[in-house]
Amino acid sequence: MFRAVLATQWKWARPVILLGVLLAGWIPVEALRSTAYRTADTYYIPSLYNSIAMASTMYQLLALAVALVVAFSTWQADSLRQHVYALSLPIARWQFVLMRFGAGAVLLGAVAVAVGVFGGIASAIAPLPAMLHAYPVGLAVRFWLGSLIPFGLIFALIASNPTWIRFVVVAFATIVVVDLLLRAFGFTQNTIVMQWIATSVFGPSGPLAAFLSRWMLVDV
Amino acid sequence: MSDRRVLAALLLACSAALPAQQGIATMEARSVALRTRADSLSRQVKRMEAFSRDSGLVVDVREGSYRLRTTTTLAPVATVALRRAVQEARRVLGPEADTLGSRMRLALREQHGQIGLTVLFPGATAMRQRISSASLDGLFDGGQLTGAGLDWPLDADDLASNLMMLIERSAAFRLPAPTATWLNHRLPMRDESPEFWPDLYRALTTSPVAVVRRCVAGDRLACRNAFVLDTMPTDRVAAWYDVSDYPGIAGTAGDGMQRNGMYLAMSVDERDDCTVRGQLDACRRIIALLPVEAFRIPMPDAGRASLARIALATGGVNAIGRLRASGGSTVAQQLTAAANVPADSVIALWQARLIASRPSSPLPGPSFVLASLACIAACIAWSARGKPWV
Repeated sequence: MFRAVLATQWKWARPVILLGVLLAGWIPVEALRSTAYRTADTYYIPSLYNSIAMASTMYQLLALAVALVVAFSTWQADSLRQHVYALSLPIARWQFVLMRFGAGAVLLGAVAVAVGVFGGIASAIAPLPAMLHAYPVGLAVRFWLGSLIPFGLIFALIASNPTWIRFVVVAFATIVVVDLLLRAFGFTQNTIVMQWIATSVFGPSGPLAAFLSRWMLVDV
Repeated sequence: MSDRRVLAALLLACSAALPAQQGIATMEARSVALRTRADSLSRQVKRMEAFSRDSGLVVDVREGSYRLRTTTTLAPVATVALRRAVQEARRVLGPEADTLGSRMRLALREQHGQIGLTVLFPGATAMRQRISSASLDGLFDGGQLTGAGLDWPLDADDLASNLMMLIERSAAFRLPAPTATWLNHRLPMRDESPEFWPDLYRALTTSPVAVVRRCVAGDRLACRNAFVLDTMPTDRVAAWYDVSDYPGIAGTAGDGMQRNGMYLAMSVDERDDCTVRGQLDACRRIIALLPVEAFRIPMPDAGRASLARIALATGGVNAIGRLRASGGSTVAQQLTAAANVPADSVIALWQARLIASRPSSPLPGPSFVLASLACIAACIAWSARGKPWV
């Protein structure tokens, strides 16, 4: 059954996965080829390093974009048909959710593998300076885990009860508005709740902390 | 024309010029008087500003011989921070830390700013003035020490670090000339953060200067050269850079004044031949047009401070005394005196520490993997309980 779920999700997300794979191949080639010009058979190291750092941001954006599109496409067909198909299946709800999530993780894994393979090939072809090393496997693992988190968050949100979603959205909006008003009228020095949310989400142990570190294909 | 007539004509001319000269003298006198008054007013304004600025400084926080004037609001944080900074200074300087403290005067001031909808309602009473930041400055033997601005709410660690910075600047006043300049007039005393050495490793490994990269790779002579421990090389470019570094240094070496001559001598296209298209002949021309001072010590400040810190740590409690008393004319000689071992041994220690700090592989760490998996598991659990058809 998992194969059937995977096949349908692949059908829905195929364009974005293929585009993701193409971009995963283009990013390292562009990073190692264009900005870092060569003179006298040696890279100008700071320029090369900056180029790799820029590629790191592109990897992060790619991971985020692919994760969001795959998460939305996972539940889109079920949402349109009021989840009748899912309810008619002879398996427990949790098993179906697990399969859907697993299929999404596999599809994201395909892009992560492409990131690793293309990164590895590009860095093997490029004559890197002795002090710099390529880390395609580390980058691929980071890419996969990094994309699974926003995928999981959106996946969970869409798979939730609509009443809950409305409640969460309204509560969040109210808290943000009150927080901004308190700051605007001088009752607080800074936005308290928004800062707390930002720290919790992007802090060292927050779920999106991975997006604050650099995803370097080539590093020291 | 007879002599008498000439004399008469001269007298007539002088008598005509006399009132004009008197007028100029009067104007000059008035100008001087006005300038004196303006100066006096300016001094008065400065005095009043200082009085107004310091009117809130009513609390004297003391720790040993150190005194920090501040406001009642800032006093609790200032007390904690000053204690930490002085303990750190005593650890490095020993009893001399207190001698230094008696010659320093520190002030921590509140900076106020209006917060709230002041743009929409500038006169609204609800928009009270609040502390928006703080500023720290000080005097050493009457001379101004460059201070620092601090974010609000004030953090004791941050304030202690900035107090240490002022103590470091004061401690550098009596350093011998080559080392004082080499250390940018700051005696490094603060402990490094855990990220310091890995960050330094990354910065030096990707340095635009070949001699620095060779130093990180383990070449001790290159380190000596990169730190400029002896004398400045006659040909700095040949001594420090590889040909592959030329486009980079041609684009960045020197400040605006130092690059001015080169800007006048070369067109934008000619400069782009080097900096954009990487043509080495163009780079050589740019480099030849830059003054020698445009090529500064290749090792960055943080690297030099870390070497000095290792020399002082190796030398033990009397290291700073020996550094001050050193009669050496080069940084190498003075560091040798401080560390009580040859400068090459200090460099070897520094290199070993740096190479051992190479950042680990960018594979995600266990804490990151665990946090990610926990978040993913929570999302799956939440999804499994959801009833989206309700």
